Amino acid sequence: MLTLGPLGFASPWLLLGLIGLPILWWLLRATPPAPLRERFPGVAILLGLEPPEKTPDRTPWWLLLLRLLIVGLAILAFAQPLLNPTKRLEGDGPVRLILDAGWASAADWQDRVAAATEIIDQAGRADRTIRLEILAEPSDAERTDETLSSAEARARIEALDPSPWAPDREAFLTRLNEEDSAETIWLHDGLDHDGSAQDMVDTLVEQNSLRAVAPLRLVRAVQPAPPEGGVLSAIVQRAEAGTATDVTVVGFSAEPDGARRPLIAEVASFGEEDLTATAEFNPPLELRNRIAMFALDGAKTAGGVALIDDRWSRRRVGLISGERTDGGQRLLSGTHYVREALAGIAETREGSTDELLEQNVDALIVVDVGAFPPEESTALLSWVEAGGLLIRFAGPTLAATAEEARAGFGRLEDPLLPVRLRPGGRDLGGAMSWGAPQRLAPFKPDSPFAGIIPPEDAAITKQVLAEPDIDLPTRTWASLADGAPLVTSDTRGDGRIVLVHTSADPRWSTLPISGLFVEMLDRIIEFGSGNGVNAAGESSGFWRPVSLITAEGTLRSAAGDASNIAGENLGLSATAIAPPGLYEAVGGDDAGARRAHNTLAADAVLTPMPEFPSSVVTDNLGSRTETELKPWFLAAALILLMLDAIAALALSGKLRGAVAGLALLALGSPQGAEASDDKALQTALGGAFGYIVTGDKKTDDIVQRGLFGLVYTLNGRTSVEPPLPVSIDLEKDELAVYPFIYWAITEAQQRPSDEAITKLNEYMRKGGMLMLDTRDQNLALASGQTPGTRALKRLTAGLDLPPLAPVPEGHVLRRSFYLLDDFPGRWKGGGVWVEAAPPEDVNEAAASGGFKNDGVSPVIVGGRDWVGAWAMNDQGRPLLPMGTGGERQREMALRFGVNLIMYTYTGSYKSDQVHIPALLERLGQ
Amino acid sequence: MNQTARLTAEAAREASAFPSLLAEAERAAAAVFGVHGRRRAGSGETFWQYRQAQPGDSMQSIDWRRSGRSDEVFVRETEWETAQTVWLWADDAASMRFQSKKSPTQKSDRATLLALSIAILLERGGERFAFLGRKDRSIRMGRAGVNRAALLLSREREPEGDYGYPPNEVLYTGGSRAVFMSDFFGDLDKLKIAMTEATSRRVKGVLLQVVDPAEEVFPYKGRILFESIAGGLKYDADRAESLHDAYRTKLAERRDTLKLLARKAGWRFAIHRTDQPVSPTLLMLHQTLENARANR
Repeated sequence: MLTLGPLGFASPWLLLGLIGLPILWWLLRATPPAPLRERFPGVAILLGLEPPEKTPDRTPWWLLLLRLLIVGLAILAFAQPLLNPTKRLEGDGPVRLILDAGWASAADWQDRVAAATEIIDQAGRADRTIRLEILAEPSDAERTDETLSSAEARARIEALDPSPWAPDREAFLTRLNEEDSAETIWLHDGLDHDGSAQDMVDTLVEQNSLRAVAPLRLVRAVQPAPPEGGVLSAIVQRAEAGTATDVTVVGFSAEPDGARRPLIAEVASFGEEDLTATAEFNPPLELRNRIAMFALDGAKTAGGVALIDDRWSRRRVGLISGERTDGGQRLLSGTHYVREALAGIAETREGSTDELLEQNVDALIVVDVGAFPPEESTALLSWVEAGGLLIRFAGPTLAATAEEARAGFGRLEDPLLPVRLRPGGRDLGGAMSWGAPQRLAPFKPDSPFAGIIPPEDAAITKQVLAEPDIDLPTRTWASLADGAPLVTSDTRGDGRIVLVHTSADPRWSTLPISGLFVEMLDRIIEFGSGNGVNAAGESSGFWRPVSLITAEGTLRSAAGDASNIAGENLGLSATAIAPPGLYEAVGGDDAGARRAHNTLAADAVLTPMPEFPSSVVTDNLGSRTETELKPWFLAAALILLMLDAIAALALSGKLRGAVAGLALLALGSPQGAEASDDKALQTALGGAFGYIVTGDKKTDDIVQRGLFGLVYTLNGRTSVEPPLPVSIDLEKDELAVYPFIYWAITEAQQRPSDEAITKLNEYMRKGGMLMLDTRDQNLALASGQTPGTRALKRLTAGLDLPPLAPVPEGHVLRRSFYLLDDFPGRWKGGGVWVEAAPPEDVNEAAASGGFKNDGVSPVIVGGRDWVGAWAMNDQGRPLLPMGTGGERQREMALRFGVNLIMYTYTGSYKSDQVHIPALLERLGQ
Repeated sequence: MNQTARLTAEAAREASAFPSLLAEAERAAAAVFGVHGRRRAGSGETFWQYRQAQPGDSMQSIDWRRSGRSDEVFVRETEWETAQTVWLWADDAASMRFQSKKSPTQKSDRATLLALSIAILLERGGERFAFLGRKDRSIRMGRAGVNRAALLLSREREPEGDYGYPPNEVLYTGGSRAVFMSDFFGDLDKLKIAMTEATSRRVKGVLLQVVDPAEEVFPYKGRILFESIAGGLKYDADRAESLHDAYRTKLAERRDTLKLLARKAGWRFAIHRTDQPVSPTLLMLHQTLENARANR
């Protein structure tokens, strides 16, 4: 190993190859560059010349340099350069490798494994044994005291996974044997989990040399804030202040199938000096109750996720009012005060009893209802017994009901009241009463309100009284200063009924307008709902894991081997005994309740590692990992090699060709389309006739010569002077630029593609002229069928041909230039078909106005081989003998051709001429 | 579709339009026209004189109108009954298809242009001309002849070899004139044979060397593999710049040889560079041809 600064070479002897570079330089200079090829007619003169100077042209210095660089890079690459060659081990004897492997190690676990492997490899090379200490492993796991060979250690490291709890350093300290001192390397996670890091460092340093490898980044952790005021928030912690950053916290749902889905994301902002930041969530209730877990975006550690349980879900409270609504005096309505008080605690629903029960509310608040109808009462009672919480407020109606009860049946027996009410209420501090308004007595410690200090300003002036009973004190949650119960409660089945003995509106007391009202409601709802879980957090009994958090911060279902944990563990940070996850109570009062057990306890604080003494060699994970530079060197050499190729091409003048070739390759396919466009562009200027290529060379030649003959004739006789005819490939070429297209039908032709047929249809619709010629009228049988007509049918299937008819008497085609009786080609007979004229009975105006294309047929069909008659050589001499009729008929065929082109260009113009006298006559009138 | 058909069609469409070559030739010729006055006489159609009919004169040659005015019978004579024929040869071999970056045109194009321009000038003078080196070597005259010649010359032809030589076995008319236009980079012996044949028929004329500027200046540098246009000849130059002087010397030697060859045959040797204008050369050619006729 040869080291130069941050660069080391694993095979330094290969560097000797660099000595060869000057030789290469000389060789390269001696070899001339490839000659430029130049076309030059004067070679004949050069031929005899003896060059006066034979010194070859030299390779340019920069090209030489480039090539030397390539070879140099290749040599360097094969010498196996290493960036940051690290020497992690110094002494001899066994090496002790300590890995934290707790949750905080999970984020950069691969780096840790790499670093550990590197150390193990180095130890292996030095023939040193290794003692592995995995701090997060449960202490009852297989002990790793024995020394391992590098291969064994390596296998163990590779099979190792981080644990979702903190490393147990104290346990390590206790089992640390004074005698087995060894050179120690500690891959720590940068956090002081249990405050014993300082001890550990001191002990290790005392023993032998210690090298501490710290992570590049300290992990962050997230905890759910205690459920409070309806706002769901997550607290993000970090161990080191210093920078202001934003962290995204994502709320996930835990689906029954074990998947977790992000529902909502909020940002927690760390100020520069902050160690904690809070992300507040305020989602709609449905969403909120689905949130089961917070996770730091991108944090792949168990500490980066936090489960929440039922305690965090917001309650849904139904509100039933028995008050007489008198004209919108809202401030006198008890429901108003309850609604306001609940705003921050729970979601309020109002409606009839049935509706509310259907909406699956957690609690029902009933304001001043005297007695429920029997069905409702039964429904409510069964709901309460199933675990519901019914909160009733007294009021004039309830007081009146109690009064009536005395009149009729003695005592009021309402199963939906926790206590029996005494008829007649109590008035305090009124004009007619002697007592002053009563204040609240301090809450008893076993009351759900324990801890709340009753405010001075809350005073009760009127209340309903409970019948004294032996159970009354135990059922009383709150009482007045004189001992009269104010809030009483009793259980019914799994549920609970709570009665507040005063009204929910401020007429009977000032309670509804004091802060106490809100707190009391909150406590009652928290206490009563949630299936009766003890809200105080004192979990007891045993809990069965439902799902567990992995070290990487994902959830997995608790396999059968996960054992139950004791309830007291739930409030603490996770350990090997109580791994983090979601737990379910087994038996006891809480049976079925679910509780989240997070990696970090609610009060846990992330503490950074203490400063290490100067004797500790500190190191950073990943920062100085050895990097193999060989691939980079080779890649650089390759790129330079390509540059060299380009330069060499440029020097020999072939670059343009190469570039053109590349461009050609790149353009590849569009080339054809472009060519076709060019063709269309050029044709569009001249208005050349087109003929569809049949693929049969002989036919194509005749068609081409035929159209040439027609052009020749037109040039000679008319002012139509089209350029030479152009061949058309139906599949590729644009048709719109051709005024006239001739299609000779042959049997061997392939049917055009649907796309081509569509183009032809479009062409005919837009006013083009298509001539279909089977060219085999001489073969016609009596039926008029020829091989060509069959081919015609096959080829034009799908072509949108109009209804056809033989050219009628007086058709424009007969008189557009010459006056013609017949339209002979090389053959006579058969028909010449054009678009059928509109029915006779349609009047003329409608015919000319409504008929598409102004009555000009878009297609002419026949089999008389006109092109054969027209075909001429360059000198205007006919090419094919006429079938019948001799040269006279050829002349007539040419005349037809002229008429045809005139018809193509002028359409029905000639037929309009016949109307001129009539038009003039009309104008004159 | 061959060139003729296209030209015919084009010509038919634009009745008065000429192929561009012809138009260019017309322009070049127009520059010469009027530079020197020249007694012109028609070519058989223009009246020259009446003379009394002599035995042997054909009946068609008798001018009956003139004869009617007197008792004599007159024959209408026209001047230059036998117009001079000029044989034009524009080399069309591969080496002429060369155009360096500094030249506006190919050598062969320039030679063809020159040839056609001379043809036009000759036509004006009522003379005849024939293009050698083409299949159709017929002697032409008049406007139609020029047009036919233009057609003939604008046809693309595949070059036959690296270097071209004037054709042998031409049926030169005695005492006619000739213009050979080429770069004369080929074998001079073959040229000599063709010239000997021409001089044996008392043909006089001009050897016009049409060269590209690059061929004269030899601007090449570095390692270059020179190839003839058709690829038949190769020369590998390690340092082309070092060949510069030698090339120039050898080119000058060749020109001396050509000059000597011309002088021996009573011809004239001239050089035309494709980056130079056409008219001076055209003027020179015209004058030389005139003088050759005058000296006959």
